[in-house]
Amino acid sequence: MTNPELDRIRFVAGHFNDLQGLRFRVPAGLSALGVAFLTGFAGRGLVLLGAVLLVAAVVLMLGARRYYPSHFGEVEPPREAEILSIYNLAGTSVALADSPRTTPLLRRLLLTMGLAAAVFLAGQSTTPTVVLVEDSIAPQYREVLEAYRPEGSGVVWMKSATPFPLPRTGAGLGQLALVLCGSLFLGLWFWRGRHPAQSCQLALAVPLLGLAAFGTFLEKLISAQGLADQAVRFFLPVVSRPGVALLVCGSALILSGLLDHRQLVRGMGEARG
Amino acid sequence: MSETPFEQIANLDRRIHDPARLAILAALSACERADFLFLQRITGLTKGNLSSHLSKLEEAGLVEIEKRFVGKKTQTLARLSDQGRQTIEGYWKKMEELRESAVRWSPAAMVPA
Repeated sequence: MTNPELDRIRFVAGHFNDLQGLRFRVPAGLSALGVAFLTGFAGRGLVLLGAVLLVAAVVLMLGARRYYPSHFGEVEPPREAEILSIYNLAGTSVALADSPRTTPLLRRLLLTMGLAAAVFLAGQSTTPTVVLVEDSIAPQYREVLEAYRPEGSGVVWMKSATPFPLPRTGAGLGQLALVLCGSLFLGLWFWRGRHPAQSCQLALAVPLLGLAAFGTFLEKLISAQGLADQAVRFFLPVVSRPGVALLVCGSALILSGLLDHRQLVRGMGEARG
Repeated sequence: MSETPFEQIANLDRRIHDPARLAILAALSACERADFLFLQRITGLTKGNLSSHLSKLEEAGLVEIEKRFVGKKTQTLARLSDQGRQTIEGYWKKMEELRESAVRWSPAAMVPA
């Protein structure tokens, strides 16, 4: 029995429940795509596609609940006696720890995502609101930003102007979705021990968090001298339209879930005799 | 003269130092408990083999077996006992010490003074 084989056994046993990508993450991704098509884009065909994706998410989630136990068995995750002190916020950890359905990894992921959201909102409140007067909008941006023009106004808002707000504009909500999704993948990579096999999660986290940062500091980027228009134009739809942001997040969730499912299947042998 | 690393390896606890039982204990050490199907899939053992090894580990007090009904089927669950958890952790520590000892060992150490 070699060390890599024991390493594989311990990793799969220790993370068995959250490697079941078809159970939560792929359905969550399908749901995000469904909501994106239902709300973010016009066209009856896309609305129908959105509805189908939502139904598919529910069917997959219910099917996976039976598929994994019947094919791979069941594992109760390890209990942990201590939580890192930095996360021992008053009351939060204790309340979550008492819930029978939360696992240690889930608690850590929720805390990681909460921390990332707090940093994002702080960044949104301290960086300037992007206000583009219609006359000054370059032709290549006008079509993209048209959806965010308030009624009868010649002004396009990219973010809320109220200090420390919840994002009130669609653009802000889309960027928040990117932050939550990116921090989920970053948390998975970090809390699974930065295992080399988990580097795909980091590869998904970096672009999503980068896009959110791009949206947060957009004003500085637009006014910077020498910034390539092509680069801004390429990424602008993702940070300005929540539907596009949800498409990106949904696709990333599906990919992450499928990769974990593949790792689980490859890490388990065939049932013999 | 103290034992060489190789003599120490030969004297390892055979209850654990067996590929199949080591795989079972490694899996159980990473979780609270696991069912029979999971252990069978993760170790690649046949049902009979796994059942035999689990029985030996239970007799040695390293593993606790629980059977429960899920619907009309019986589900077998296994978990490490406290003794089992201490034993496997001691085994890992011993193996690490042996590895370091084997790296440092040289034939010159065998020559009597």
